[in-house]
Amino acid sequence: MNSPSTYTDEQLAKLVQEGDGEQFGTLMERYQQKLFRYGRKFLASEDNIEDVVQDVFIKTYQNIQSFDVSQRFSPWIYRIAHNTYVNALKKSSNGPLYIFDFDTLISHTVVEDPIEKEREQKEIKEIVDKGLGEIEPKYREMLVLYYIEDLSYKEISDILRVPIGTVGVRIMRAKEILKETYKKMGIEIK
Amino acid sequence: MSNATEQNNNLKDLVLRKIESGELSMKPKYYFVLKVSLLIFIAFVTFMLSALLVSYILFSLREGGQFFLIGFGTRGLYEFFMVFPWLLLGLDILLLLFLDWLLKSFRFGYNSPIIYLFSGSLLLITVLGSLINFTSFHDNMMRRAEGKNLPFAGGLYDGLRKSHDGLFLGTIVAIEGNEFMITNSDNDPRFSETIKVIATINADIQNRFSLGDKVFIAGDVVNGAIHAYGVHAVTP
Repeated sequence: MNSPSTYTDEQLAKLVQEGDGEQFGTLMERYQQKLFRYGRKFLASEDNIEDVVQDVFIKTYQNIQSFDVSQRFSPWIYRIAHNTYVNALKKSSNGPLYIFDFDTLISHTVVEDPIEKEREQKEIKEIVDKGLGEIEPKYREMLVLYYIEDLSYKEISDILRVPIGTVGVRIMRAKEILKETYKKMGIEIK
Repeated sequence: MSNATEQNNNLKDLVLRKIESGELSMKPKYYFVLKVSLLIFIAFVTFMLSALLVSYILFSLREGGQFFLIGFGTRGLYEFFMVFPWLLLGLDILLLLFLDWLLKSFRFGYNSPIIYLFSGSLLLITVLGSLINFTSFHDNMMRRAEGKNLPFAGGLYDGLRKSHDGLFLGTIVAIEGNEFMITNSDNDPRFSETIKVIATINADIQNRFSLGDKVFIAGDVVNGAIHAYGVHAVTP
């Protein structure tokens, strides 16, 4: 018999849906570090991060019956995390977080290039680790999800509920802003 | 034990304890099924309302004769824009925006750029609205409204087939050159039983119209007569 550690996320989620609450612990083990990392980078703060991540898991458990086990679990839990972090950011910032986004208005043709991603990933990861506080949350989040959490355009599109083209455009713009920001700080990026 | 592992275990234990104690529970599946069903139902109702509104706008323009203004030159076009029910169109656009916002909850909705989603839904409701107009739906509603059998929406159909400012409806009872007489079907107090119409444009009245034709006339009232810049026969 397989042990829970060999189960896929979706299989574990199904067991939880069927009432096996213990398996939720295994899912938590798999996602805790990822969600902490995503939260720290997105919120650009350590304040209350544990409470916010706990909130993500609580919402995940409460809503797990709405998860379609034929889909991937990862974008689904990241979607909950995204909403929870956005709410946390709203509470901590004065201005509006996401006003109307013109990138979602029209269609953009973008091609996801895994070779380019791999080439940039190490470098951007290092830069991102130095802090992203200076960058707008909507771009900061893109860099975290794409380069740090290693999610695809399609998965990010499902998490943020924006067209895939918008994801590509925002990542491109986020890289430019990142370069500009670090150039001002005297750090050169290729 | 590292800080990260300790943090993980603490959080995991805390959440699992809440689950075990019953303090944290799952929302039942039917809650989500109901939520999605409600969303689909509201989206469907909004879509149908929006299409009905489009069909009503088209119907009212046709019945009131305003559509014919488009063919009456620059003046007609200007008058058409003046009498167009912009408020209803605005309301329809609001419904459409609400519909698009609802559709954003579904994958096909959020995967589509806003412009495409809006244009697509606008096209769909316009097509459906036009199709409704081909049926006798509004004619039946109007008949019921005229017979005072339409308590809620009756007001919408009141006076649609009557003369409006600058637009007159009547039956030709006499023709002489570019002048003709029409019945005062709506008992307009400005006129007697018949109204004299003088076509100010080369409308070829004598050849285009016959006695008994029902016509829409666009024009101004001068000295008790209508000075028409456009005349169009109404299909019975």
